Amino acid sequence: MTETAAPAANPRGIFNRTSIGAKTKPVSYPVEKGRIAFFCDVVGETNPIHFDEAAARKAGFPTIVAPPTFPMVIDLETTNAARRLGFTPIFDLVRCDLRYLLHGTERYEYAGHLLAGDEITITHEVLGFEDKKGGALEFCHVRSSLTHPVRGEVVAIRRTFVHRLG
Amino acid sequence: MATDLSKAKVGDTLPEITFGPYTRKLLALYGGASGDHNAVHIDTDFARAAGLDDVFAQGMLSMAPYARVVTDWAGLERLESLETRFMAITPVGATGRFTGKVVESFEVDGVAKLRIALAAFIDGNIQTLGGEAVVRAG
Repeated sequence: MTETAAPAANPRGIFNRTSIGAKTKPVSYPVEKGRIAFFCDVVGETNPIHFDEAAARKAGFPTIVAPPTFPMVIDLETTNAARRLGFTPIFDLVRCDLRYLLHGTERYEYAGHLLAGDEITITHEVLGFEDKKGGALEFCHVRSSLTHPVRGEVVAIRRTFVHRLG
Repeated sequence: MATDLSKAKVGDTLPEITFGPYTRKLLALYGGASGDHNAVHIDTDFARAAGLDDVFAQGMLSMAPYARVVTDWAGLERLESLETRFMAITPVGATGRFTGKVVESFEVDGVAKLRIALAAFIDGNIQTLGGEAVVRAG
């Protein structure tokens, strides 16, 4: 991470462009079946592989498995945990301003599954910044890695934060 | 419960999912369930002070039924990637409609895969999410 690697700053931009290449401190999160069940109830997910151990095994999973957008729970709860621990969360590292912030894109790449009982560690890396529409929109690209101590990287998240400045 | 994907072909449509209505209670519960405590989705007083008419739904809340179009059809075990672009907000009271369509059949290292175009709409046919998923077909 060097100053020279950072693109020219948008004079109207808010993101901390010197954070390009920076990574957050790893934070771990216990994947709990109670939280998976609560999440499923709210989003209308009724597939029993997410709350019934026997159904999960019958479907070929070793135990209860989290639904596909559950990585967001790990992401946000570890952000809350980072604040408790005095670490700099990704939002603060790239300097998101909630008054102008939009969620641009969200992508998950699954190398495996998040299972009840897993202890998952998450680290975020700042990939870069972009300006669009003559500086009316500024974009921040982040890659987050959800890693299991034995199974390695289970899920990667690619996300774009957007500031609407126009 | 998953579909036999060996017979799936480009142009096939996946069964649609309807989700909602997006009530204030649903937004509040999703705030708790997801860990997203951003007040703009759960506190009308805060939203109005920020110049908005009202709270609006978390985009990630809609990404769950959006994903389910694929996993109900193909099975979670076949899902390789899932992505969305957030195109419009979902206001309180809206109902969501989620669609999927096979747009490409391809192979990587001998493994058959399908690309599924996904979309979410609210009342008035306003598109709120758009993107794709890739599943293993073999």
